[in-house]
Amino acid sequence: MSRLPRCPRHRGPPRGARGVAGATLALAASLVLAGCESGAIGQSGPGSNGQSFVAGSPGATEWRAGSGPAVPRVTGTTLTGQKLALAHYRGHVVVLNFWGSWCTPCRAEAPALASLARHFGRSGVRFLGVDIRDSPANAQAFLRNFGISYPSLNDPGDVIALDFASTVPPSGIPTTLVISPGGRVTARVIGEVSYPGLRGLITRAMAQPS
Amino acid sequence: MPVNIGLAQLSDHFLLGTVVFYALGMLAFAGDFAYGRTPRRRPAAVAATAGSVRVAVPAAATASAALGSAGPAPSAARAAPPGDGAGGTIDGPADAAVGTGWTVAASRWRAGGAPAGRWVRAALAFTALGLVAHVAGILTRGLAEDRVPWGNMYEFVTAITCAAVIAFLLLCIRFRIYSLGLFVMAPVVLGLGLCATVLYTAAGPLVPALHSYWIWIHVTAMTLAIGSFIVAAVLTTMYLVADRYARRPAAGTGTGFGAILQRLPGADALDRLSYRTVIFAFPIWTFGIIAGAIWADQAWGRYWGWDPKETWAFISWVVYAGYLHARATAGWRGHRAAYIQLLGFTTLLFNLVGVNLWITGLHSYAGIN
Amino acid sequence: MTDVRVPAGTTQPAEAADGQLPESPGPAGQAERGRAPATSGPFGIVDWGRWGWHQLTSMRTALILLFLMALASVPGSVLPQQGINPQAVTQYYAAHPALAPWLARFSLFNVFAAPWFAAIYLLLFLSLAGCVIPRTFRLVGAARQQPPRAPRNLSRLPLARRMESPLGPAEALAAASALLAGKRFRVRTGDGWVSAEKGYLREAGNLLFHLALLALLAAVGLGGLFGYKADRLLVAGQSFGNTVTALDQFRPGRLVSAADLQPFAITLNSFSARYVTSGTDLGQPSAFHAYLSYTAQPGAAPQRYDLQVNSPLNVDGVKVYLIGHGYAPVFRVTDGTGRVVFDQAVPFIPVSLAGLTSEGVVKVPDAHPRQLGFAGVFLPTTIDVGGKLESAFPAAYRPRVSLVSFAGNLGMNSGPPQSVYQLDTAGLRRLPVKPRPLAPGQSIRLPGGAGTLTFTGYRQWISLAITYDPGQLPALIAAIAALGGLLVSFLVRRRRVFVRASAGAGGGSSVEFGGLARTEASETFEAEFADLSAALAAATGSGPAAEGGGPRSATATGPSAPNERE
Repeated sequence: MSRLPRCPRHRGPPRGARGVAGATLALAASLVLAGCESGAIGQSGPGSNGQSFVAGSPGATEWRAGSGPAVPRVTGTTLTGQKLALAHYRGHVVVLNFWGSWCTPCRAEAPALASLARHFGRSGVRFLGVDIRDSPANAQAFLRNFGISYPSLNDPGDVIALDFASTVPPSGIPTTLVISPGGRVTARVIGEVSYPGLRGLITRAMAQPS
Repeated sequence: MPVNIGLAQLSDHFLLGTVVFYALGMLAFAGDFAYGRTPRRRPAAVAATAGSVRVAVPAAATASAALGSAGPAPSAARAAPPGDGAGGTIDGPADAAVGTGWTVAASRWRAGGAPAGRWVRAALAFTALGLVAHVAGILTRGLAEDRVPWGNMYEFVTAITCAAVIAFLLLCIRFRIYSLGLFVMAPVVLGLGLCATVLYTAAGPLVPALHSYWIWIHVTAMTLAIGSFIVAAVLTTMYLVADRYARRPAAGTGTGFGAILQRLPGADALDRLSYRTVIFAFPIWTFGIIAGAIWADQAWGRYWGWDPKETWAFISWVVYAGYLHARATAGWRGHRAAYIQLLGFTTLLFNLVGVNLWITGLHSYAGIN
Repeated sequence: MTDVRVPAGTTQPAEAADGQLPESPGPAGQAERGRAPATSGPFGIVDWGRWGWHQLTSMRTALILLFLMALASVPGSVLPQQGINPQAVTQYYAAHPALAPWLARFSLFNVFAAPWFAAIYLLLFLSLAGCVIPRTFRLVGAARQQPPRAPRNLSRLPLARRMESPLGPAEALAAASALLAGKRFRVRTGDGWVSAEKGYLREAGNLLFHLALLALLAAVGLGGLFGYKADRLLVAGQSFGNTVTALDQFRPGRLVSAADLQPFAITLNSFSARYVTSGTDLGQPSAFHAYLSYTAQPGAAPQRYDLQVNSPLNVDGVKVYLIGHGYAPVFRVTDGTGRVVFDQAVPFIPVSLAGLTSEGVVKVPDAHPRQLGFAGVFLPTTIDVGGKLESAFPAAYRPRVSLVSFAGNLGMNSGPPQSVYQLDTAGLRRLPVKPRPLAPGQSIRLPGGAGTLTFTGYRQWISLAITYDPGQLPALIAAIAALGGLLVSFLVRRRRVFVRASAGAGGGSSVEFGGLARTEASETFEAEFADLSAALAAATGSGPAAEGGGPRSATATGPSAPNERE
């Protein structure tokens, strides 16, 4: 092997230590770098488990009064064929829920949503669903099954989800947004909502000035 | 588009003729070893080319000290250089000067070398005839299928061997390495034989994923590169053999294996020629990988996915790059670099054979069941 | 490529006594200069760090890392990989139950995303950067480096000529110098000599190649950080928008969030597949056409596109590829109460490529009184082979569906999400229905008033791969630049020529002309040298050139290497 030239401006370490040092350097460097690996090359996905939707990482986010992002213009057709716009509910607290009849967590939270809708209906809180990847027949069967009486917009082409993309995108199914009367998002829940959890979010949204 | 059966059969006949002609050529090359003229001693004052090359062997050391940036050691200053007939001419130690980075080594076999003897001429004629049949076979196959004629392993190996023969003949024209004919044509004939027997698939259309103009660019580049790498591998193997043999004290005698080796170009000349062939093929291989990545992006949605064939192409690239670095590093020049090159060639063979036949991936177009 | 670190600001040392030309300092010279002030004392952390950095950025380390990366790729190509072929991994587990978990511990089923693989290429990145970037600066700084002085004794050079010129020494040298400069050599004149060198581009090409490799690695990393890949299955007539909720699979880079997705929307108007209808390749697909409309932004005018296998759709920087296709039979289910509770196309997944026999499940979770589930096959061109139904051809010439019916609890009202392609029969009871393949329009009447399922027709679906890789174009540019640098460094040779003129007889001069080049360039340089000496002879009005050069005496030297650079 060729004799390696040394940089002339420094001394080398004592001979015996070089081998050990070299190995340690390599190991340390690789451990450090492996810890912050970018996963750039060959990052493989979750693998196909045939779930056919992205579950999203669960969690709730709340915004302080007036600091949440403003909701975009949302218009659509309900499952019964009527045109409906989110602006129609300006002045009320709105709970917007993205769901699908094929989605297990959506089915799990449906009773809570139905119950909360009845509970808060008298207080002026409006519930609105956005139905993803469902035919109208499937969706209406779901609503009948769980006794959900609030309207849902049918969104087979993800137009409404796209409208939200730049503000507070629904990054999973189900996603529930709580919107203040002034049209600002006060809370977002990704994943199944619980009855007490959503009740608390709605109560706090109602307490906000606008 | 239905396959033209008549042309397909014509292609098979052509390729059969190719094998016959190449085999006859090999026999003639062997005949040259046995019955051909012994190589003349080169007179010291040969000056056929302008520039009168004088080889600076003794000046090598001083020249390298004087002028060399980067001067790896002269690989040897042997008393009896290999393959030089009886040695003792002033040009004898020519190859020894190869080692220094900044000196000129004689391209001995070019400088007024002995004209090809009868046997060599016959061998070259057979090989050229074989090449004509080879090209005709590929052409008719392409016409029969109405598509580019490298879409499965049979066609690919046929094309590679054709590229190897073309590379060899070009080197013959430029460097007159006739004596290597036997050793280059042997793997070619072997490859074609495998084609005709094990790898053979009937003419048919391409699978839809291959319907792209990129097949012209990517696969052609790979074919050219692999054909050249085959020739380089043969040259390196002969270099190792010649070099090993030359170290023995009985070198230079005119009998047996020694007689064959005497007819070959010197070990260092073989090494250099192999290096130059790799220098030619390596950029083509690089280009082929890039073209493959562009095509993969169009067809499969990503430009690099560590598909087995992509991975092994990358491995081959790395090993050949290692060879190029080794060749330029003192202490690794010579044998070690040659072994690295052969390692690279092995990865190429695995890529061609193993990945196609044993590992399934997106590249599984071998067409063999 | 040398490993020499030339100290900046080096000046050419004085010529040694016996005609040996000192060269740009080699390691010998450096070592002498550098070792002089050997300070004693403990070898501190900083020294260790500096030594470590030099080790890391040495060429040997870079080559070792490169080889390691190639070696590490081998198991990634031989063993089945999770990201490429998950079923093969599962099969490997089944075939090698003891070995597989150990292999998985070392990430051998996911080599290219393994931490140790990442460590190798990141170290390689560092090593390459640490070596190449300083050298680039040095090259730029030394761009005006002069050729070395001419050696005293030109006749010792491998190629040398001596000629007699009627011009005086100074004029002869001036003529030589002008000639060489005209041929784009870099010329340096001295007292009685001229030195010229050509081929500096070689180092530049070399550096360009290595810098481009660095840029390539960076581009790949960039794509990995900011890019994403996603999959979506789309039935004819359906549309989707590029949001996380709409994607079947979403594999984002580290720095990608849901808000970063480009907001395009795609509608599949129709899909047509053509197959070979005769000959030995009967049933092989010959063409796929997916007719799409798409909008790049919400509210933009829709545009049309014919998506095919080798021609992806490029929308807003994102590429959409056609990956697969299949059939989605449409079912309408009425439950026990007589109401329609399901009316949708259900994608079935092909299990055999020959006839596109496809399998799938139908889940009807909102049926009353009990939830219903169905599992079965769809056969595009149904034939009866000895009592067993098979599909003879991938086009739907005779579509039939054959289903098994279940009732009970599908398990969808709570618990973890289920796959839409699999039926969990744990809570289900199979219904006793006589199995019968359904033609479009036919129904199954479920026993006990559980309901009715009608096979109303079928549609086709396509699967799309959506990829966004911002590093793709930079990677391509880097690769092409690397190729360019490689070619330049291979084709351009460094060569040097020297001219010495001394006063000769009768007012003329004796001109000596010598040259040398790198070994690999020797053959081409001979011809160039011959041309140059002829031109020089003409320029200096010399007579026929007398050949010199070569060894004065054929003394053999041992293989001692005065320096081992390169």
